[in-house]
Amino acid sequence: MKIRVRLAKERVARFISHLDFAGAVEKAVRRAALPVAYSEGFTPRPKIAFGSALALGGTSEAEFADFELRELLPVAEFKTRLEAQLPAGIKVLAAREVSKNAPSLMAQINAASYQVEAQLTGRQEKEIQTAWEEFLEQGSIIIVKETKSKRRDLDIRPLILQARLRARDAGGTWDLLLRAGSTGNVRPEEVLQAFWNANNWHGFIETIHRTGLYIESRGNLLSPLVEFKVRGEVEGNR
Amino acid sequence: MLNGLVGPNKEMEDLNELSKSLERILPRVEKPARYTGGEWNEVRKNHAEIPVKMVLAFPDIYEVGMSHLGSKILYQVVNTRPDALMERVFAPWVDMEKELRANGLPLYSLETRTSLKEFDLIGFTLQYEMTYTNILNMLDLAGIPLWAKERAETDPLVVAGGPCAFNPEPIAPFLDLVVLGEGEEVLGEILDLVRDFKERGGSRQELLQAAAAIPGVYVPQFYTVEYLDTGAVAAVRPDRTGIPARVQKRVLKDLNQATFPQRPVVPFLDVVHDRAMLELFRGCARGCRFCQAGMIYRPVREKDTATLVEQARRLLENTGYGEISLTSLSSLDYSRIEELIDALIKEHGTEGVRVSLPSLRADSFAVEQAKKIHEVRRSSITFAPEAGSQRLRDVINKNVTEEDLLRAVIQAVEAGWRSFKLYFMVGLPTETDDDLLGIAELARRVANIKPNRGSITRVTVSTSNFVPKPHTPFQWEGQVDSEELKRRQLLVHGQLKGKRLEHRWHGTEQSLLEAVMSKGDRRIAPVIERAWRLGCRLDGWSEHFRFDLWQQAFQDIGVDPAFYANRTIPEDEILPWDHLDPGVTKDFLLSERMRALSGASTPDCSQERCSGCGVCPALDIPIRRRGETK
Repeated sequence: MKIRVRLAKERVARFISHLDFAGAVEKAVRRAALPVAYSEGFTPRPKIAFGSALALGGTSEAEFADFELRELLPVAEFKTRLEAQLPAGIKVLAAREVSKNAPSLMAQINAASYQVEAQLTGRQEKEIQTAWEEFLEQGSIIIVKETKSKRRDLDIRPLILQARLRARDAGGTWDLLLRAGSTGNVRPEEVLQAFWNANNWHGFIETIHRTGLYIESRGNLLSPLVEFKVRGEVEGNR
Repeated sequence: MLNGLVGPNKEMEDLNELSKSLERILPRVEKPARYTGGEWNEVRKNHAEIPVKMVLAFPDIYEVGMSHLGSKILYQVVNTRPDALMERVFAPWVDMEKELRANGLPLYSLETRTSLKEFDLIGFTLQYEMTYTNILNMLDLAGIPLWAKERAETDPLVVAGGPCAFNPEPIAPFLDLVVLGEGEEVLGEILDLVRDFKERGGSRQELLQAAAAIPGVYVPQFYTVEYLDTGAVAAVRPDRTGIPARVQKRVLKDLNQATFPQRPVVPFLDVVHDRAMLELFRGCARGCRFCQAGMIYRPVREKDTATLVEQARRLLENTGYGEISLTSLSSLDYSRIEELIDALIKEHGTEGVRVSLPSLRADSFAVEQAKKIHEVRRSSITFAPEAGSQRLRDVINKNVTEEDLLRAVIQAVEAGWRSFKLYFMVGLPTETDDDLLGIAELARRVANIKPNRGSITRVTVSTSNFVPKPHTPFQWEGQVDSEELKRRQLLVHGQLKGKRLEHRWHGTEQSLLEAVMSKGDRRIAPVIERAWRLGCRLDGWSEHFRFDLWQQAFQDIGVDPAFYANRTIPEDEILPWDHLDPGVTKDFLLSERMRALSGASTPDCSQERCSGCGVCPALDIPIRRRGETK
């Protein structure tokens, strides 16, 4: 059977990378002696598949993982046993059985929502709010993506699906719904950096919190966990 | 469970002011999880309720320190006591050091984020000589005076132990207490003493004097060192009564009864050895003459197989690791190794747990065992012939023949391995160019083996530089000077051309410094301080090693590194470490040196007759063969 779990990553756990987060969950699974299936080969690993990675430093209430079990187990028992073995800062928020043939999280997830707190020292509430609206009104927003070997231009405007700013003097709170996954991907810090650049400002991101991962289809948001439609609201994912 | 113990899964609260500053700093440094704590099995106790507080300071970065078994043992030993606590701290990487200094923050313990200065004891483990500047850097970041004599009554006691403690002289003036040998029991005695002093009151000097009476404890400041005009040590003498002239190391008699780290902290980060570690035995009686560990950890003491199987079970249950490593100096020498490996595979193999061995002997038996545990042989297999000719292998008492090695390689090839690693040393006593050419010859012979299918893909030859170590038969030898070492490395390098051959070697300048630190006396301490002030730290990391600054430090203080590193010491000269006793007698080391120079080998005393090293009678341990029970 396959169980899909929604996890939270908070406090001290925000300082571990996505790979180390996966390793910590894997060790918790072994300690809990859960009957997960193991891969074949030199280094057998429990069959756990994670959703899209969160950058180190961010907190999240929307980390998803699929666990393949070799025996049937009540979901509630799975949840309790796993929870008891997770280190500080990692929590199980919800769990449910999904079909063994369900498409992988990586294949399904194509949107992510974030709440970002940032500082813009010396700027007024109104000035920030207006600049943000103008920023979004642009037909295209080009950023330069750099990898080790190459640089390429990317238009991130179509990847910003929804955005709301609550500005205040010297900063604000951004709620962003962004394209994620293999069909296009932009990270919240890239969006805000483009915003600072457009205005020649030096902003400082204080916290990034991931609030949801979604399967977006024609403007509707589906949660990977709760397989029913959620109206196109950023906060509606539970 | 334990008194005052906070459950490991307790939420990490914002503990103090320091934590608030860290929230800002940590996102800016590389791998912040090095500095957060909060890992599984971390033990956090309430400082207000615990009389004796110690922090274990590992003078290298987190990933290295968290791979060290000895630290895990001491963490368990101290934290099991209701009246004591132990927390951890590691050397910060340069980025974190910069942040701490820029923000005026002290070096702190991971568990409760407490400034090091607030502990009663700071324990440094001395695993490697190239960490000495890190020790000074950590003391400085903690705001603790570097020199033991400058510390105030309220400053923590700075304690050190580990293999380099068998010649701590180069850093002795920075240390309050040095522990010789295995720490499990003696650390407990030191903690008892500190607790009693805190209850009853007493001066730091009185405490140090009382500590010096504990067997295995060395208090450097109570010894005066005199020197001859030649520069050699004339005498090392206690400066008062009640202080032993020689300090003998401590050992545990029965490892089955010893505290076993059954709940080691499980790091979030991928550390150097990210696996469960099962210690099979201590000591090694093979008697390789270059090997300090082989001398100072004697005698061999094994754990029972039943004990090990039970300990493995608990370790895996408590950590969730997918790999268990059988760690000892030469693990395959464990008398019931086959029985143990079979039992572990049978019990844990189906849960996706792998058994691994850190190193292999170059013989058929070793390959058989490796075959059993590496079911799919993707990785390479490593052998350490150490020297390129039979003559030189006899000199160093590495009792492996070329036939043994080639037979083992062929067997490994048949089992499916295609990639090999061979370890050698360059600069060994009596070495000639023929021995060096022998290294390349041996590597070529391995590379040219033609398997039935496929071919050998790679033979990686690693050549490290020989560093003479205290308490070994080679302690009197001088290291070959840096230029000549380089020539010899390049000679080997030039011979290892070929598409399947790869050569790796160590910097000769780092090895020179390691030799000075290994065989130095107290006159090296000001050099270390000077080098640190000039900016040296993380010297074991080649990207941070600044030989130019070290040269300047030697010059500024007026110390000639060659006197310590390259000089052959006359046998009648007093050695800077003669007052520290590992149990193996100097007479034995001398006779082994003589046998080395005449090319005579000495058999493993745990397999054949006693070689008379003196350790068993000195430490009152009954002499017995491997596998014999009490």
